[in-house]
Amino acid sequence: MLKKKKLYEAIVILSSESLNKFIYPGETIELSPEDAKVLIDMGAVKEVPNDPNTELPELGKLQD
Amino acid sequence: MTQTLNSLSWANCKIELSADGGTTWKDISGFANSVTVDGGERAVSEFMTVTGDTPIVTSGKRSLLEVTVKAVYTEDTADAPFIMGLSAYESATDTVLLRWSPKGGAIGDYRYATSAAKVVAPVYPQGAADSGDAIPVELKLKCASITKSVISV
Repeated sequence: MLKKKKLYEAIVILSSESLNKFIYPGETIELSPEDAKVLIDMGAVKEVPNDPNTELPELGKLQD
Repeated sequence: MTQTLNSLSWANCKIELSADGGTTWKDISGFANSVTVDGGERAVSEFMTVTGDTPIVTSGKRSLLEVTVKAVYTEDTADAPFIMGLSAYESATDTVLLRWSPKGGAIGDYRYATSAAKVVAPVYPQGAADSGDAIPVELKLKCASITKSVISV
């Protein structure tokens, strides 16, 4: 099963293969945990606090 | 301090060329031999005062960069470096982009990419009958900047 992608903030300039453009420091990019680990380990990205992809839906929205 | 174990040779370098503004990239690693970078010096000046024994040093802007790609001459594909380079050279307005990744171009590797570059010298095959060498061609590019980035998905 594919792991859910999360948002990460660029610390250095990234060259995105899928988006075919540069991601500049401060901009965000969606990455799988495996891809993110390589980039986190080398200090290229960091996790985004309050990532909407990982926030739990509000109770009211669940009922909808 | 211990000696680094992380040095690289040019053996795994991935070199790519784009003739459409970076929308599509042609991997020219199977054609290219070398990339050299020249120019880009920052203007630095000195000013002597009567009192001082050493100069006041000021700095200004960086000059343009000249990037030279040496590749083998082939006529097999329309997107071979020779064809792409010659087409850009013969146009007054067309530009190319070059990017290369010394470590091979995987996620996490560094990549160096030129801004839009003009091919400024003729890209014609040259040679002599007493040589058995493969025919080389050189793409001499001039551009404003080279951006270092980390490759991501």
